[in-house]
Amino acid sequence: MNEDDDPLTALFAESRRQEIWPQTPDAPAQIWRRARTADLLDEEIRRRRDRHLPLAFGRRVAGIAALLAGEALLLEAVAALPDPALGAVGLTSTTAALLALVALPAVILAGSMRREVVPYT
Amino acid sequence: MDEPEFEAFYRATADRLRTYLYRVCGDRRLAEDLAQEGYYRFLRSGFSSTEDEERARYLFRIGSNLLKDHWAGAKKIASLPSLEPETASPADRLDLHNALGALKRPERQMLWLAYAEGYSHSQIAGVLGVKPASVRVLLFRAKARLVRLLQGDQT
Repeated sequence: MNEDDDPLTALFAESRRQEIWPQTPDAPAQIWRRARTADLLDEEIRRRRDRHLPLAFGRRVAGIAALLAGEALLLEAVAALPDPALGAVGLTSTTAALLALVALPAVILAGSMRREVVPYT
Repeated sequence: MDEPEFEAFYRATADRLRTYLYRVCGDRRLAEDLAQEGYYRFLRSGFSSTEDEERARYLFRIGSNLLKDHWAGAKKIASLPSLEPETASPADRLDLHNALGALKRPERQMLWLAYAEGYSHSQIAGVLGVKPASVRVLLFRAKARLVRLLQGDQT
């Protein structure tokens, strides 16, 4: 800004000075309490989430372990089938093993999707 | 920031912030509401500066963003509504208020921050979230338009 701006600055200053606002003595305290309440709520939500974190992690690990065990069982079952039986349905042992590996996650996925979709009645 | 410190900061800046918001949006009630929300967000942001003017600029930035959000949501028209009867007072104030009302929102914001708050170009840029070079150009044009309006030229 330069000297030319002085009248403009004075005009704005006067405009600002003349603007009267109602004084609300308890407003800062109310805002303070509102903000602190929100902070406390956030903290509580974070604490609860942190508390449940090991449980959620444990569930996930157990789920993965169960999936691996299921896959191993399926593979074992497929391996136990005689080759002529697989050949009769047009499968090689490798294809059957791959199908077995994919089948279990597919069934689990379908099951979880069914649970998540609310039926329209 | 503790509660007494916040209270002192509020007392020192509340009228400045409300007047800025009012001069830009033209609605006293909205300016009041946005100012309250601005202080709330300021507290929740955890802004850590100990310098009052720096805090004030941050507060003005929050206020400017709230205005932007409000306009984005409400899609309000650009011109200021007519003055409320109880606020009508000295002629120069009416002139400035009406002249500001004829300007675009960013122009009102820049002019107010520059001439009422005395902010530098880079400080205005910080508050409005634009480049300082843009502020220089836009402020120059806004000032020229405001001067023309104050001189009675409506074009």
